[in-house]
Amino acid sequence: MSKPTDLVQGTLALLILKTIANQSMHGWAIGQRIQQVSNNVLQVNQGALYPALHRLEQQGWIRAEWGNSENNRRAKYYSLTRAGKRFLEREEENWQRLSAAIGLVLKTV
Amino acid sequence: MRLLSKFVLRLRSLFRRHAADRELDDELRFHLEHSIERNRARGMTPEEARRRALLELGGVEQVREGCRDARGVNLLHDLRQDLRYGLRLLRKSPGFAVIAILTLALGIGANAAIFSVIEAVLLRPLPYKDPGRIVMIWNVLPPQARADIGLAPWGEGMLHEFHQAHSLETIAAFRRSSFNLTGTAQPSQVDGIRASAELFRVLGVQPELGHTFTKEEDRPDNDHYVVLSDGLWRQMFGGDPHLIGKTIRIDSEPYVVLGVMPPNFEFPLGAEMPPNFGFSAKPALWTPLGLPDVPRRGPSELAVIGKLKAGVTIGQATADFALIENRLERKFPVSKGWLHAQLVPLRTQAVGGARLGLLTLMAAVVFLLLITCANVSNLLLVRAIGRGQELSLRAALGASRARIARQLFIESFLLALAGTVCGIGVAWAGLRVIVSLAASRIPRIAGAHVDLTLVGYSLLLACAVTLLFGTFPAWRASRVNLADALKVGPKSSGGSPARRMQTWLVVAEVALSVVLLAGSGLLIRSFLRLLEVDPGFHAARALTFEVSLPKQDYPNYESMTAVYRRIVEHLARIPSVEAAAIGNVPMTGTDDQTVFIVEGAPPVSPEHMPIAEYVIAGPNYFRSLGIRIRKGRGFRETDTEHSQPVVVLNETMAARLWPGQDPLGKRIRMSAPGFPWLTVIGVVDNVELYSLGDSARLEMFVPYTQKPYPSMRTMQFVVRTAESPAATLSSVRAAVATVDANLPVAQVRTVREIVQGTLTPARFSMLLLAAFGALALILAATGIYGVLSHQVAAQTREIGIRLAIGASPGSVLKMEFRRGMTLVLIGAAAGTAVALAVARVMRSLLFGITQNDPLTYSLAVLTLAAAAALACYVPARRAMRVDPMVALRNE
Repeated sequence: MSKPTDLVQGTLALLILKTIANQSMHGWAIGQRIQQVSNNVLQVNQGALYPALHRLEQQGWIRAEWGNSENNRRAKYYSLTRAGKRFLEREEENWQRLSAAIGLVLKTV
Repeated sequence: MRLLSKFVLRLRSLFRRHAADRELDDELRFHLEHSIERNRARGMTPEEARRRALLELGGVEQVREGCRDARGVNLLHDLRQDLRYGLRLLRKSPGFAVIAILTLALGIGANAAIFSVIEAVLLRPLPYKDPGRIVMIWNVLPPQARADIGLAPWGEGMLHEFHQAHSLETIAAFRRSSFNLTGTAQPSQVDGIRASAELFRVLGVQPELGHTFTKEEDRPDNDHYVVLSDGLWRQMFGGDPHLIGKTIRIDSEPYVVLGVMPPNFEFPLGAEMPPNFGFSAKPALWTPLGLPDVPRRGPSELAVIGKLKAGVTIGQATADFALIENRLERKFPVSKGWLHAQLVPLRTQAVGGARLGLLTLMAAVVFLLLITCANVSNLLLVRAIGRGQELSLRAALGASRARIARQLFIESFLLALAGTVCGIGVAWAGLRVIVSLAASRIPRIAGAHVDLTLVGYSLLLACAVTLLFGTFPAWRASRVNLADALKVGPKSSGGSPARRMQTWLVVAEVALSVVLLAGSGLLIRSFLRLLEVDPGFHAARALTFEVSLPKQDYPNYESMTAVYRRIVEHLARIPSVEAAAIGNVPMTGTDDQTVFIVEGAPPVSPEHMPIAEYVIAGPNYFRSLGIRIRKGRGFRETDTEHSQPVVVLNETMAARLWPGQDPLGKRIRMSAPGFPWLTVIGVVDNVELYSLGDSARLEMFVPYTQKPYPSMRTMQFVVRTAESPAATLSSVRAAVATVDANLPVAQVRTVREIVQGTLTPARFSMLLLAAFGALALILAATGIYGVLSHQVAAQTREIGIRLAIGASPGSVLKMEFRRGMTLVLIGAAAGTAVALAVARVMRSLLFGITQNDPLTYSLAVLTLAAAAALACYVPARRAMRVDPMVALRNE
């Protein structure tokens, strides 16, 4: 059993953070939203989602609160912390730069 | 802020584990419900929907673990699991655990004990203010004057001159003295110090109670003041705080008690000072020296101590003193060559001669530690190889290398912990033995004890040893590949790197043990040689004691000689006494040294004048001590202050001064003007005046009735008894009491005790090193046995085959035995080479043998070979007994 590679882990974290940037959501909704927004290209590995959420919480980028869901069931809602917001901005920049560079290489070579 | 919330979260996870787990369950349940709903909305049956949902999630338990891992909760939990597992493993192999723990305990305990000693004696700062600036100022005798006497005292005149030294802030002088405490229940004699008032200022110490004497209280006409030591204050006066200001009777005179010193103030310690000054082990009290303003002529036993001005180095101060010496030599040409001040920092002085011995011990104990490391290495290596299968299984089940490494670390830590606990016990016991052996000769060793620092040091050492020498090599050697280890088949013996490491470890162990055994062998033989030395007198059945005469009762010379004569008379009348006499007892440090001139010899410049030991004796002195008279006679009652001044010389002196001639009738005298010519009336055997095995000195014996100096106030007596000296003691006390009931009989010892006492340092080093040698032997033998057993066990199959195809058991035995002994011999050869190289350091500790003594080395190697042979034999025999059928079947 191998652990997810760093790249995959980091990418999932980035997607999660972006998803809850403007709105706090629970785990299920986060998974669905990512899938939806990416036009079903990105299938989130559900087994990796929750550990990723807990790790992000442990690292202090997101915080969790129990609340009531749409159909009045108890759910854990995640939202971005201020530090998380800053982290997200930095990571977004990095990601843009990375993908632009890869694009350049692919074009010219 | 982020750190804090992280920390809080982690703490929460740790302690509210169950609550967090329940929350997680709720969260996952919520997820699954949604997932199932969606599936049902797609048209699946409830069971199908549920199954699909679970599949997508990927296994609830794994997700749970993943989340828990993410929270880092697992760390503590895993640690606890590792600890419990480790303990269980150790319990399952008690043999291994016991050997490993014992090995560690021995190595760590010995190290801790010696480290504690070194810290107390060499490293701990002295309890004085600014100790780095305090120096002893000694008078070093010119080289031809047998300067192995060492350091000589100063006269009052010199002290007077030293006050002019610019480099010193303060200077003080002190000397030993005996004091009779009268007026208490039983009169007793104590050893104390007469010191100038500045002594306490030089050392920068404050009394616990009251104050010390001032300069006004240090004048010849006003000096009846005393400062008590804490020990004497508690013992004799019950720790009475109101004693300050009261008077006590010392030497039948009233002395005002000014103060009490704190318990840790024991300056000067006898073990720190040169032995010929005769300082006792610990001073009981301090009284003023009372030097007059105009220094008196003549010798005195002053030791001088000073405090350098801030910023002045020893070099500068020495130059300063050289200037003073030059000036004095020009003023008094006769003193040329005899004034040479040597400044010794108190720290160096305070270590005494102990440094070399202690450093040798430290080296020895480090060797022992290395052997311990080799053994622990081997033990853990063997064990790790044995666990190869278990470890690979764990790796196959998903344990990361880090996790496995952590497990190994924890097991090693458990061993280290257990080893430390036992090691502290070993250190504690060892320290008690060491301190009792050496307390009188090695200063401040009594301060070595087991405390928290030592426990911490031991734990650190144990962990370092186990981790460095145990786990790392074991970890590397056990890097098995999965397929190989999980195979059910013949187990490899861990591969050749492990085998090689074991071999080298055994060789190293053997070599180190040889070094230790050789070293202890040298010391043992040296000690035995010392015991054989003829001291020139007969130590058996002789008792000595000391009597001090108070000035008030015995104000002058005549009264003193009279009372001494009567004491000797009464002593001789005791039925069990064969002979009794007054005089300096050898090896007690009470004799003096003097410069002398030989009649008729060409004049010699002052710095080349010879020195002789100057011993006071009375009638029957030589008979009481069992010293053989070779020519002429000893002293008689008729040698009084009115008869011809006479002297008895020892063999060496007579032969040196008048080689080939008859010394009787020749004359010598002491060099200072005013001393009479002494006629030689007898020659005796050489007497060891300092310690056994000392080099021969010039010795002259003078009747106590005729000696012009030094003070006769305290004299020693020696009594030769027909039965044991202890039985005669009460009669001796009675005899002295008959003469004067107020005179305490002090310093009662047998001559044999005195002689044995001089052997203490040699005995100490010898016993300790021998103990280390024995330990090393045990450890090495155990190590060899362990390695060979393992190798035999690992090769059971090969041996079985060999036996099956017809080899005789005897040849198997021989082969295994030879294999083991080859290693031992290589190690022994290496060890001998190292020992020969290293032994040079020990040369000054040896007596009567060279450091290359072949017999000692041969014995060491033979002892080791014998132990090793036994250690090799047992596994080899086991190899011989292998049942080929069982071995071959047991794949």
